[in-house]
Amino acid sequence: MLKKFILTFLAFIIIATVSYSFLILTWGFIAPRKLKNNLNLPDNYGYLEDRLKNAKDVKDVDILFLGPSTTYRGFDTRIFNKSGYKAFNFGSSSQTPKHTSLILNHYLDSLNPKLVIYDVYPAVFDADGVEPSLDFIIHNDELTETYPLLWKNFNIKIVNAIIFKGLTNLLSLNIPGNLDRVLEDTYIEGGFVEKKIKYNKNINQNFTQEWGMRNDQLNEFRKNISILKKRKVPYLLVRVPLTKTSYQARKNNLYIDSLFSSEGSFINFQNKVKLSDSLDFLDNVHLNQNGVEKFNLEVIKHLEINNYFN
Amino acid sequence: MLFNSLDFAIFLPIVFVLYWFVVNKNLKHQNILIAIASYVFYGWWDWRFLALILFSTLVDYVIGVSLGKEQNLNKRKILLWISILVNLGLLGFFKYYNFFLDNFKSAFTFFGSEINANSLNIILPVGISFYTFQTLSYTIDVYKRNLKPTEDFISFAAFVSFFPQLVAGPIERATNLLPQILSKRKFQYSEGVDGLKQILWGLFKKVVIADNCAMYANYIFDNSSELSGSTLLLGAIFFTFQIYGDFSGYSDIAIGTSRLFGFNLMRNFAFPYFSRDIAEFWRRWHISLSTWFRDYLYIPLGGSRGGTWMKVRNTFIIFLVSGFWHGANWTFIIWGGLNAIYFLPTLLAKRNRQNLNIVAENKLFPSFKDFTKIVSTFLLTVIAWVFFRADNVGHAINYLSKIFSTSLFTMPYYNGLGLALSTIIILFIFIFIEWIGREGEFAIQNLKFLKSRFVRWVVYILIIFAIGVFMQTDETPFIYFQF
Repeated sequence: MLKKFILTFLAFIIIATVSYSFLILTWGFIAPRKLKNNLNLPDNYGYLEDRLKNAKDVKDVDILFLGPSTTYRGFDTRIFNKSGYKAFNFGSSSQTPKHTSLILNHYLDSLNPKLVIYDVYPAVFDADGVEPSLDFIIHNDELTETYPLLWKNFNIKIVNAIIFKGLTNLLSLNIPGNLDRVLEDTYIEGGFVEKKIKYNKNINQNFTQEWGMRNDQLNEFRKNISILKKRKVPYLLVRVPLTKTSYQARKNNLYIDSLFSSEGSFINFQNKVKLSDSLDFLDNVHLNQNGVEKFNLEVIKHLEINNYFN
Repeated sequence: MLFNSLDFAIFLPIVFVLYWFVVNKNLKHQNILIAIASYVFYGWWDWRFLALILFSTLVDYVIGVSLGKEQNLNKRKILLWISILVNLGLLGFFKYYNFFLDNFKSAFTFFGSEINANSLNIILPVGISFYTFQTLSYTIDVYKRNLKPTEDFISFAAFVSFFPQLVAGPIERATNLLPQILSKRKFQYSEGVDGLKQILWGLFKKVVIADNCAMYANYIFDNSSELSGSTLLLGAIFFTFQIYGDFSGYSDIAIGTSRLFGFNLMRNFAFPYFSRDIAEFWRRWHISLSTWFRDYLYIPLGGSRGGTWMKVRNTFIIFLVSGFWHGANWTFIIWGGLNAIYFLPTLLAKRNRQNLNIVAENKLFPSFKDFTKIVSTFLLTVIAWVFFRADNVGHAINYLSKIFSTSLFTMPYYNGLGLALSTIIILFIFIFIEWIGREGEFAIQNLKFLKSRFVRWVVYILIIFAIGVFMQTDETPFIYFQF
């Protein structure tokens, strides 16, 4: 009886797994967005697909930028190139330390940076990281690279995305509707995303709160730091400027800064660059091209004063 | 440990394999495994409270053994009262201490004098109301000589802490579960298959129905002052399905899991929202608690044998106590009282046992008369659930008064309600499946069109698919854990 039960159950599991996978594939193609609760196929708004492809052709950079959208919208590799630094920007939407870890494990050797500039935007330390995991899975042709995201953050959305991506790869199908571009954005070789000049119209922040910090993300961040230390790659932890109102709305900035200072060289650029909340930002978090230029020149100045490359 | 967690998905097969393949030759070893697994299951939440279960187990074990030896009626009564006081004392302290304190303080303040007493920051041990009632039933049954006390401590510990039903029931009677623990279990194929089916359906009810409805119900209840009457009615309906999916889903997983280990637990839900009157509803909702109160409170109080006054008194007592059992808040007491008011007319008119059969048995559709009865009973429960869900009595009254306002006749709306489309579609499919499966113990047990294995497996795979695509991804605790 028990043997029959177990054999039948195993047979069911096998059939159910195969059927489930193909149902997920079909649903991904035919269902309207409103009925795809756990099968979100993120659009390529963060240009991760382009960046991952781009990264495969780039070797031996001077500077590697890591972090979330404040990174890929905040560090213009062209400005660094002009100053004589070969740079690659590996920022991605809402990139949490769990995703940075994936980049370090797969691209650190080939990019072989002389310096890593790690943007420690506190908000990503308080995120579970499911949505950016989907971004990595759907936009990465090397699906196996993304498997660790499943163990690090077990979630049915990640399972479904891996199944969907795996089958579309296997059957050479194009993923529907995920190649949209934002018209105002341009992907720049080297990872930066330039937005057509836009000014921040929504300056008022009517809230005060504290940055949160999840233990799992903090632990993962520390692991990333130890990878860099182990490989003897110098790194600089930075906080990219936010609008003054947005920055001041958070009450524990000093604590956050002291936390990151204890993890290595750290600099908070919030008050190091003169920026206007309306003219130098496109929203309360991201710099516009005016702000990017001012900020990047300040970063270069900081690197040179502190002899990072000597 | 939550049933809807990865931890449990790993824990269950491990215990299953150990139970049937490693310790299967020896009943004692199987019971030791059950007890250990149950303590691990409970300790996963907070190991410190294991001491409380162990203490409760020890007290009732010793009292049970003593009752078995003691012939003197007065001494037996004393032993029974020790058990009742210890168990209800623990429950009272952990669950009701702050409630009574706050109400005494308010009452004294009302009469012009103040008392100085501070509320305590007490953590409510998960499932305390459930296992307290389970152990109490053992002592009472031994006292009444309905059951012989066991001298096997391990088996008794396994009975008290049996992990499938430890934290949210069904509240098992010692007369049903203990003999099963004391005798050799044999794996039965059909029970194993039914168990898996019931687990699957329970999981669907919890993670798809309850958790999705919760999202909308929570928003609507939290913002009730800004929304229209029709939206509030929709919110109350969402909560009505949330609580059903959540609690009956838990019971299904508990019963299904027990089946895998060769145990038969009592049924806890029997399609209550298809009831034709409130009396029928209460025969179909949380059956293990209703029958507990019937056997250990209502009947000892005289039941419905006495005059009208006694019937009214006993009905109110049982419903108010049942409400209070759910939580230390006046909202639960009013919820109980409201149900008593619903129930009394059927009792007094001697029509409370009118609908004992399954509605529209062997028919696809109910008669128009039955349909209107089902809808009106459902709406009465929806109104009562508002008290159950509201933060306080004022919130419930405001909520209901807004439902019964002219804005009831507008289209339900709030920004974000459009996202509820998939939930509403799934709810209709769910109600349909529950309706066609209402003659079984649970909806997908014996569906008539599932004669061939192929069709059955297709249906199960579709349920798994629905879970995978529509479940809420956060591990949400079951509502009844807080009771």
